[in-house]
Amino acid sequence: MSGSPDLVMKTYIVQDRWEVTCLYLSTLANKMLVDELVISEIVSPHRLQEYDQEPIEWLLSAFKQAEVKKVIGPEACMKELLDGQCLVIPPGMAAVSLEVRRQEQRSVAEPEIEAVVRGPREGFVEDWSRNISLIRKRLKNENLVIEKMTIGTESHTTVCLLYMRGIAQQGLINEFRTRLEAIQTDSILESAYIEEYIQDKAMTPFPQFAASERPDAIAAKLLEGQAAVITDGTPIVLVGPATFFQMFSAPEDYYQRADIATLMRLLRMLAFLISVFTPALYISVASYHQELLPSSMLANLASQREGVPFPGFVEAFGMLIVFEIMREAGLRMPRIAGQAISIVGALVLGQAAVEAGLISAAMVIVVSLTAISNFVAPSYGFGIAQRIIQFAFMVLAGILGFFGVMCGVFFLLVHLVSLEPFGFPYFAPLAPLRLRKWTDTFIRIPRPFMKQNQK
Amino acid sequence: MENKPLSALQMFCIVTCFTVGTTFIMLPTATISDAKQFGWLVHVWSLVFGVAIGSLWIYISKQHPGLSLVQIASKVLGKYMGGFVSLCYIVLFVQIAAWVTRNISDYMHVTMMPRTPPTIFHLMALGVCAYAAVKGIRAISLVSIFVMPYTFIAFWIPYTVMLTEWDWRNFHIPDDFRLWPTIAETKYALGFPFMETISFMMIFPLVRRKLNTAFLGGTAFAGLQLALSVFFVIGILGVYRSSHLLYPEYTIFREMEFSNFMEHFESILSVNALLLIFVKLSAVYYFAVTAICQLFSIRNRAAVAYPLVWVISAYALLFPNIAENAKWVRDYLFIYYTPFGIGFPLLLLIMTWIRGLGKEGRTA
Amino acid sequence: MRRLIFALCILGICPGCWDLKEINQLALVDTIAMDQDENGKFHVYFQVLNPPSIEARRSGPSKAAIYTYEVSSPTIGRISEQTGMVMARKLYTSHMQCYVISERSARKGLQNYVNFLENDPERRTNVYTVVTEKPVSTVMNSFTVLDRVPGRNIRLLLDWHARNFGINKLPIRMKDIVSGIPFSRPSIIPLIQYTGDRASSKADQLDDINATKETLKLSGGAVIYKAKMVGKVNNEIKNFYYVLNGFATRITETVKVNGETVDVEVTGIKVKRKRETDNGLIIQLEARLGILNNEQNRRVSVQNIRELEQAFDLFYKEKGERFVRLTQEKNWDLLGIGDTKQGRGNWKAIQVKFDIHSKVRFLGNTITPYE
Repeated sequence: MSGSPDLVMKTYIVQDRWEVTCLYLSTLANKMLVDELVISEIVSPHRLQEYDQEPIEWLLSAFKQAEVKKVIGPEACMKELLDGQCLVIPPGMAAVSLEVRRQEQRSVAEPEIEAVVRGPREGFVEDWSRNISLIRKRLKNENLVIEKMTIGTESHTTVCLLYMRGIAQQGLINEFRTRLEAIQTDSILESAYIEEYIQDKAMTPFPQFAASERPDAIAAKLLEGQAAVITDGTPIVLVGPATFFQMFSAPEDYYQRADIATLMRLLRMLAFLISVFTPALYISVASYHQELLPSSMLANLASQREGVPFPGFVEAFGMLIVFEIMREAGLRMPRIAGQAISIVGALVLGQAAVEAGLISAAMVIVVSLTAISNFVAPSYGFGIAQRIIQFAFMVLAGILGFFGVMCGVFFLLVHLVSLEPFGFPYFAPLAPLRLRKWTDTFIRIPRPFMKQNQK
Repeated sequence: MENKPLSALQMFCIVTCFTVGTTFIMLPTATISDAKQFGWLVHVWSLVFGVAIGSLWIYISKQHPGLSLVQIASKVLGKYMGGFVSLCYIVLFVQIAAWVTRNISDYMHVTMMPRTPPTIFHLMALGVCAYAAVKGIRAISLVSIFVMPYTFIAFWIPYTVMLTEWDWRNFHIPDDFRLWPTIAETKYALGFPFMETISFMMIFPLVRRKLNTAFLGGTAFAGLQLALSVFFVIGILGVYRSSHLLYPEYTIFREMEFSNFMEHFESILSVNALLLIFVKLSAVYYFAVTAICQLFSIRNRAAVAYPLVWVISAYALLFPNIAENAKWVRDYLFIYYTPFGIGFPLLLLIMTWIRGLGKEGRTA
Repeated sequence: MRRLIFALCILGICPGCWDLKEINQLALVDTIAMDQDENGKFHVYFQVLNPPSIEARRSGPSKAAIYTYEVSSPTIGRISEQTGMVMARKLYTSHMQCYVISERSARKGLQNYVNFLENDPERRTNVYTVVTEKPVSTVMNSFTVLDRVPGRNIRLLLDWHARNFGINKLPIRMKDIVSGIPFSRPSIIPLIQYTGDRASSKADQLDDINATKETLKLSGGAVIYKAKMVGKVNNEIKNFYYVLNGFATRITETVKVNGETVDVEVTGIKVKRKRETDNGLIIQLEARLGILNNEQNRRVSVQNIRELEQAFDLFYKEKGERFVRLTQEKNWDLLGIGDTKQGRGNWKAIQVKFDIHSKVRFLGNTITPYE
């Protein structure tokens, strides 16, 4: 540590008797605070040392600041130092740490991924304490329990487990705590690290946690009895265990009228079905079950495909891969290049490819429909799951038509009902059937009618 | 064996799916050609038979609470005799699984994909169902909760649309109806599917509440649907035509038209029916795997399930063509099923009484 | 799990998509015409769509909408194989619109066609079937106007025909012939005629404004008994057959009232059969009348309407009796009496009486005709 350029170490003579060393990292600590709180207090003390007082006791009482801690041992000292604290070391084995962290962080801003038309505009930031304050602001309740722990042998990341005592099941919380404590890793840089460690060990593309950067959404989930995990250094908060149908509900559902919210949910479910099955249906209809199309449409399609060199499967698969590339490029490319890319994407890949006879016009419709439907899912992680199964279904349709698709559907159903993250059935409330829960899954009834909120 | 209990609804749905399963594609043409316009009645009395024999099984199972069929057999009959009986049942389950697999591939081959080799269908279906069997009966029954209403709708909507083709003349063809000879002639309808449901004795102990209602209700509900669908087939297609067609129910799908531009939906509709068959196949597959695991005390279901795919898919190729399969069903199936459905259960019951092992024996 | 994924991967790699058929490898068959010549040789005509020419975006008869292939073979089962000699694409018959059958082969019996069609899952039997008196090749090698695809033209024609009877589908499909085999009542299949002298096989003839000069036209029906054509009837009988057997609920008739012509639209027809005695049958028919054309030069009054109703009842009664006499003469059980318990085996012995009740409901835009 000694070689670090930001390590500031200064020694003062206090009370004319003993030396006090003051240590802090100038990159993490607020120098003003150090000067104001520490130096001034020590060098020109208002209180004199009592005769029989130990130096450390005197120091502890000398600082009027609230967050003063006694630290024992070099390792603990190092930890405090790295956390941005200022250490004041009198003679002896103990030291005093003072909270002088520099509050350098971005301000609370509107969430970029989960924007809403109506609803709060606050989003989480990278600092965990700030995030907790955002949640506390919404749940002014003594039953909101926050358990802080440090994970990562190298990164020492602060991770907080949040839940509502009395609402969340104790078994679930215990399971969460056990799994969090069992994490053996060197670093946690984002909540996704934690997600991978604590999710059930089932191989599945489906997310078992909802991830959100909206404090209101997290607060709502806490009130439903779920547990949240806040990770320092990321604005994304995990909340779980999630179920399949929760992925279709957005926080905004509760901020607008119940009837429109119901329709929106059903629409999202429809969009899920469309994005998963449209390419597979197109492939099976175009290559296996042409009788499904009305005669005139079949003739249209046939004439479009006249001269298209690829079989339907290759065409669909290729186009969707091209779309995935474009999406990935859109995420990574600099904003300035955006316009150029979209022109290339829309004109060159869409229109020109059709006119050049490389793909059929119907295929462009299928791909765009699928692509748009993909983005309807409120949860980004769920959208990724959609894309994976969509490709799987395409392969099945390409091999065996509807039979393959049906095998896939059955496989998917078995897979979904057998998922039970933290012992909570993933496919509820459809299977196992819980009709009472349908009031907030497939439909959303107005809140005054919801039983669970009336207490 | 898993210990998670099944709810009554799950049991009901899975029994319904199992019973309807392959029956509704295999049987109508046989019962109609044997019993003419009274073909639907055959299914009504078969369902009565199914409920009656189901009560017997439930009674036996209640004598040994918490034990599956294989466990009851070894408890009552001793290690070797019971092991033999269990082995017979395992063979039966594997056979049923093989026949169901074969029915799938025949159906797909005849109706939609004549060029694809049957083995591909076998492997695909069995692979999926083996996965389901590994995941356990809870997963299968949960799927059946979803599948049952869905196929119910997908099945009856086209039938309702086809009511425009209804012709009462089909019920007025000359035929003198004699009850007993017809029952004797169509006895296979008693065995298939109502004696296959004996396999549910493997999971009776998992249903903690309302077992009677769930199992017997599921059997009755499925039987009613079968009877009703045969009734519809007769009314819509007529006795003459449906007794000549291999899959009359599929023909109804084929000929359904919502309007001029919405027609030819047969592939989607008939493929939906596959979901039902998959439930049946994975259930019977699960029973076979569980029986093997219980008999030989194997822990890992996957180690049994995946190798079994090859056994079943090979066994499914036994019948060279569908006519021999149909002949087997018509002539020998009932006799073949009788020891499994009635013989062994009665043996178990009598032995229970003699040796005083039952619940009543112990309390006395 | 890992093993399953492995198995699925293997499955994904090895199959060759046996049943894969791309849309542009298909010959979309619109109509099939079947004929059997004196030597027993089968001639089958396939009308295959030419997709680019009927695509929605393009308009006008740029190219022929369809092409007709003729294939002949000594057995009907080898027809598909024979098409491989002339057609570069896979025959795809799922989108069939109708079957055309020559009169001579219909008279020989349709049993073998029916068996062949029902056996193959790709062929359909729930499509309209018509019998043609002209040689099949003439019908099949002619373009039609408005709808340039003849098969669809015939289908739409028959759909419209059915709609005029107040029903959605007439029982004139191939499958109706099949399911009619065990019954004593014959089916009546429409006869189609080609009005021109020779086939109009060039698309440029579509420029002719006279649409009825060379076109397809329905004329009368072929009586099919046990899948065999036994005779012909005219339109009048054919339509009345549909009425008396309860298919049609609407028909147009011409009635003479006091010597003047009145055209009425008969709607809401309900036919009931009542057993009177062991060999007596009453056919009750209730109907609503609407006046289409009234040539009586007098005011329409309640009295006059009564006369019209009575005239219609009488007219229909006589018509029914004529119909019964025809069935007796020709030995066709067109009323299906032989399919009921009463008439089984001896339908000819059953005496049929008619009991007609009609009620005028609609008078049209004029309450009374101009005098």
